Amino acid sequence: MAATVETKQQVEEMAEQYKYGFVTDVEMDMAPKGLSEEVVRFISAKKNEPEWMLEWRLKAYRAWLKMEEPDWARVDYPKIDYNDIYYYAAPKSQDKPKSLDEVDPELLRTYEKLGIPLREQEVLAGVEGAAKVAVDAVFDSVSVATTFREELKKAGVIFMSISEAVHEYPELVKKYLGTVVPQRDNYFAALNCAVFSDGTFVYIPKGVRCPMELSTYFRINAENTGQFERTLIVADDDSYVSYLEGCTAPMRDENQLHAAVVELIAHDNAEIKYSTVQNWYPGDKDGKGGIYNFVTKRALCKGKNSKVSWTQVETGSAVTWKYPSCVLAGDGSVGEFYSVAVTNNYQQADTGTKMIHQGKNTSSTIISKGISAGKSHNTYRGLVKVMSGADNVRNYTQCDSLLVSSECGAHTVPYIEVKNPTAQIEHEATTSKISDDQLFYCRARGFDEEEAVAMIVNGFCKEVMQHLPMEFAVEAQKLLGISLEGSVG
Amino acid sequence: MLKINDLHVHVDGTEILKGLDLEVKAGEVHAIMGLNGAGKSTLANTIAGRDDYEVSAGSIEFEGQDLLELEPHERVGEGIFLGFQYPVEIPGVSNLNFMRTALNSVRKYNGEDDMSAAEFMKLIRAKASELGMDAEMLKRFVNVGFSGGEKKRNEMVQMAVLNPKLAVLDETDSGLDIDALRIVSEGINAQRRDDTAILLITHYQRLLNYVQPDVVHVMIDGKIVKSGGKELAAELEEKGYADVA
Amino acid sequence: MQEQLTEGYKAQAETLMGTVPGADSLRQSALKEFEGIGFPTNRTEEWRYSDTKALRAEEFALAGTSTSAEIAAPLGETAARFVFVNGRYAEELSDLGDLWQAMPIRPLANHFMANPDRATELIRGNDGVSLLNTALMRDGLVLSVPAGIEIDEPIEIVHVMDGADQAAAHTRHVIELGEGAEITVIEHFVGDASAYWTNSVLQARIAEGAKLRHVRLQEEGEAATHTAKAYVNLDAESEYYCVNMSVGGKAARFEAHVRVLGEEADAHVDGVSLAGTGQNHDTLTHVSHMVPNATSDQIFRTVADTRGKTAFQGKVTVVKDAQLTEADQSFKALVFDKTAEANSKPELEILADDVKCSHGATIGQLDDKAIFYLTSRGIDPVTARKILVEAFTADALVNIENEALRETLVERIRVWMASRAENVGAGE
Repeated sequence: MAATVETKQQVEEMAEQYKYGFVTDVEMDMAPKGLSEEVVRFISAKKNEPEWMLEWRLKAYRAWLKMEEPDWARVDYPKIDYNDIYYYAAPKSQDKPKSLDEVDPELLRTYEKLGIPLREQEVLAGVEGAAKVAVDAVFDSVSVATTFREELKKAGVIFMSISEAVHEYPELVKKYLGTVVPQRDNYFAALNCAVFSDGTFVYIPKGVRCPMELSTYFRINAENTGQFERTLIVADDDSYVSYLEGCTAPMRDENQLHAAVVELIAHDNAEIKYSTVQNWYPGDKDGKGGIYNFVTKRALCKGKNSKVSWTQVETGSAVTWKYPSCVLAGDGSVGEFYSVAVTNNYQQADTGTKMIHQGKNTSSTIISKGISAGKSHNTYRGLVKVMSGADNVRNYTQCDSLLVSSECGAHTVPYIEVKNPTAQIEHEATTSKISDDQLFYCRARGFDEEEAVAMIVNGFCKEVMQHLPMEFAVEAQKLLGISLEGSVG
Repeated sequence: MLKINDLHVHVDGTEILKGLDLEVKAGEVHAIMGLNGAGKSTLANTIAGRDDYEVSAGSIEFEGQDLLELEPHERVGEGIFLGFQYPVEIPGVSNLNFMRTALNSVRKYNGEDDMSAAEFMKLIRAKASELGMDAEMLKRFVNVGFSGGEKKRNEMVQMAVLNPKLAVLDETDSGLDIDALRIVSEGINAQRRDDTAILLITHYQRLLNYVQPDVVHVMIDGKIVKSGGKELAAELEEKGYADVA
Repeated sequence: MQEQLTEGYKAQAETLMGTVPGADSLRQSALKEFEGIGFPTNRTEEWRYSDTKALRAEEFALAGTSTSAEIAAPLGETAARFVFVNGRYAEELSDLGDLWQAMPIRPLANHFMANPDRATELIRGNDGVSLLNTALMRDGLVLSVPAGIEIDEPIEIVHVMDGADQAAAHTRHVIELGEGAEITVIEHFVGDASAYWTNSVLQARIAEGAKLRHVRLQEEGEAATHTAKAYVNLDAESEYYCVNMSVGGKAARFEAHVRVLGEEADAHVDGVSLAGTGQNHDTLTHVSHMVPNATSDQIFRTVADTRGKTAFQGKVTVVKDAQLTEADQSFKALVFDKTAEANSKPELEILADDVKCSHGATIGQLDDKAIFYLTSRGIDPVTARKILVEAFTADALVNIENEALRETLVERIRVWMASRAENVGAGE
C-alpha cells in the first residue's frame, strides 16, 4: 500500500528558528496505519528478512503488548495512540540505490540542505585537511545512502544499514542484536524490536583503528510516522571507532514518535566514542508539535580495559527520555558520559546515564550540563551502581544546572548504590541562575543579551563540548545559541 | 641504630629503590639529598611502613630488630617518627585528641600507663609554645585549613611530643619561608641528642645551614652513590648532581 | 494478604472509635485510603531502599499495656520527660517538672477536640504507614509553647516498647511554637527484643522568629520495625534544627518533611545512621522552599557494617518564585565490606531561577592516607579507624548546641564502634 504525502509547507515558509523544519516531497511507500502482527510481518516482508528476524520481531511485539508505558520520568505528554502512527514509511524506489546517481534527486537536495555531504567527491573536494566522514543517511524508515563503503571495506570495517547487514552478515547480527538491550528491557525498546525499520550496523575487526569518523544522519520526513531506528556497533579486540549521529525533522503541528535503540559492544581494549547532536524538531514556542524522543542507548564494555564514551548535545525534541548507559563488565573498563541538554519554550528533557560497575578496577566519569529556559523542564536522572564483586571502582559525577528564566525547572535525580567497600564515589551537583555579573560584563563589551547568554552558556558547557569531534563541536555550539533564541527578556 | 642493607622497593610494580645501603648511629644527623624521583620519599615511607611500598629484597634493622616485621604504629612505638612532606588533613579530629591518642598508644606499646589529661595538656602546651605554635591551633582539626608552614610546624610539635629515637624528616623544609625554616630547624636541633638520630631528606642545601649534618649522602636512581661530610652539600649546590656523582 | 491486613486494621480502628474525640472520621477516611494503596513496597519510589517485608507479611496488633517496661535513662538534664510505654502515656513514669507552669500540655485527645480540622493539616504525601498512624493513633503529646517562652533544658519524649511481639504503637505528637519561642525536643526510642512496630508521627508548627531543636535517638530493639515521620512548617525568620541518630531496629526509617513558609527561615535536617548486621536504615528528607529568601542545609553521614544497609533520599524543592533560596545537601557514606550497602539519592527540584542549590555525595571507605598518618604517629589501626569514623560522623552532629547532649550521641557512636572496629574500613 502506498500513499503520497502532500507537502504541507514549503521550504520558503520555514520558521526562522528551526531551520531544518522543511518537508521533502517524495513519493512514499507506507505500511497501513497502526500496529498489529500484520504490520510487523509487513515490515519484515518489505525488507525481505529471513525467518529468524521475523520471529525475533514477533516475539518482541508479543512482549510489548503485555508491557506498560513507563511513567516515572519527569515528563508530561498526552497519551500516545499507538494505532494512530505509521510504522513504516520509505521513499518509493525498488531497491536501495547502488550509487548516488540512482538516489532520488529530491532526497539528495534534502541532505544538501541539511548540510550532510553524501557525495564522496564533495567531501574530498572540500577544505584541505578536513576530516573524512562516512555517512549512512536514514530517511524515515530506510537507509537511502551509505558513503565511503568501499574505502572502509578495505580496512575491514563493515559500515552499512542494518537491513543490509541482516542479509550480508546474518551471523554477526544474530550474535549481537539484543544482547545489550534485551527485548523486554523497557516499553519503547520492545516496540523498537518489533518494528525497527532501519539503522546502522558497524563492525570494527580486531586491531583496526577505523580510518575515518562514521556517522548516521536521521531524518524524519513523513507525517504521522514513527521512526524506530536501530544501531549496532561492535568493536572487536584492540579496535577504535568514533561514531557521530545527527537528527532533524520537519516542523509539524502533530507530535511524532521516535523510539530508537542503540547497542554498543566493546571487546578487550576496544574503544568506542559515540557522539550525538540531537536536533529533532522541538515544537513551536507555544509547545505545539515536536518529536517525542524515547531512546534506549546502552553500551556493554565486555572486554577488559575496554572503553565507551558517550557525548551528547541535546537541543531538540518536545520530550526527551534518554539515558545512554554503560555496563562495565570487563575488568578495567571505562565508561564516560558527557552531556549538554538545552530546553526552551515548552520542551521537556529527562536524560542522564547509568553506569553499572560489574568488573574490577572499572571507572566512570559523568559530566552533565543542563540549561533550562522558557517554560521548559530539564531533568538529570542518573544511576551509579557498584556490584559487590567490583573492587576498586571509581566514579566521579558532576551535574550542573543553569536556569535562564523564572518559569522553567531544573531537576537533579542521581541514584548512587554501592555494595563494595573499595569503591570511591563522588557526586557533586549545583543549580544556579545565569550570573548577572557575567551577563553585564558581556553586555558592557558590546554583546546583545542573547549573544551574551549564548556565550555564557557555551562557557558553561565547555567541559562537555571539548569531547565532541571538532566538526561537530562547531555545529553544536551554533545550535546552543539558536536553541536559546527568544529565551531572554 | 638504623641499618639498611641492599634495599629494593617496588611501588605499583616499578622498582624505585635499587639496592640502597645506609647506616645511621645514635647521635648522628644524616642528610639524604637528591633530585625529584631519586627515591628519597620512597625511602622515608618504607622506613615508616606504608602499604604499597613493597620490599622485594634487602633488610632494615632498627636497634638490632627487623623493622620490616613491624606494623607502622609498632615502629612508632619502637621510636621512629616520620615527618611528612605533605601532612594529611583529617577533618573532624582535633589536634589535641589526635596527639593525646598517639602519645598514649606509644606509652601503651612500651608498657607504660596513659598520661593524665592535665599532664598531657602541660606537655603539649609547652612544646607548642617552644615551637611558636598558637595554642588555639591545637584545638583545630588536624592540619585542616593550615598553611604549608603551619602544617610543618605541627609536624615538629608532634615530633617533640612523641620524642622519637629516630626522626625521618621528608622534605620538612619545602615550602617554608625563612622564619618558618628557622623554627623548624630549632625543632630539629632540639631533638638532636646523643641517644637520638635524625635522617633529613631534602633536595636543597638551605636547611643544612641551620641543621649541621654529620654525614651527607647523594641519592640517584634508587641508590646512594656518594657519601661525605657536610661540605658535600655545598659542593652539590655549586656543581649540581651530575658532576658530583 | 492486603485484604486480610485491611480487615484486621479496620477491626483495630473500630476499637478506638470514640477514644480521640473528633478523630473518628479521620480514621475512617485514612482506612479507606489505606485499603486502596496498602503498604509501600520497593517498587514505591520513596521506599525503594526500605524493608517493609514485616509490615506486609502479618498484621501488627495494637500493643497492650505493660507495667514492667525497662525505661531508658534520661539523656542528660531535662526540663520535662514524657514517657510513652507501648504507645500509651505513662503518667507515673513521666516528670513534668515546672513545664506545665510555662505552657499548656495536653494529651492528643484534647487537641483534636479543640482543633479537629488542624489535626492532620500538616501531613502530606500520605502512604500506607502514615495512613495507619492516623487510623490508629491513640496517644501523643501536645505542646503549645506560648510566644516568647524560651526553655533551655531539653524536653524529652521517651518511646518504650515492651513485650509487644507482633504489636504496634501509633503515637502522634503535636508541637506548636508561638512567636519567638525556643525549645529543644528529644525523642528517644527504645524497646525489647520482640518483633514490634513503632509508628510515630510528629507535627510541628514554628511561628515567626521561633526556634525548634529536634533531636532523635532511635535505639529500638533488634527485631523492631521503626517508621517515623516529622512534618514541620516554618514561618518567617524561624529556625528548625533536626538531628536524627539511627542505631537500632531491624528495619528503621525516618522521614522529615519540612515546609519553609516564611522568608528568612532556616531549616537544618541532619542525621547519622549506623547500620550493623542485618539492619536497614533508611532516611528520607523533603525540604520544600515555598517562599523566597530562605535557607536550608542537610548533612547526613551513614555507616554500613557487615550485612547492613543504609539509604538516604534527600529532596529539595524550590517552587516558582521562591527566589534567592540557598539550599545545600551533603551526604557521605562508609561501607565496611562486600555484604554492606549504601544507597543515596540526593534530589533537586528547582522551579525558580535565582537560587543557589547544591548537593554533594560520596560513598567509599576510610581514607588510606589518613589511616597511615594516624598509624605513623603510633596509633594502632583499629583505634585509628575508630577515630576516623567518629570524625566522619561528627559533621552531622555539629548543629546540636547542647554539648552534653552531643557528647551523649557521640558516645553512642563510640559504643557502636567498639564492637566492630576490627572490621571497620578494613576494606576486605
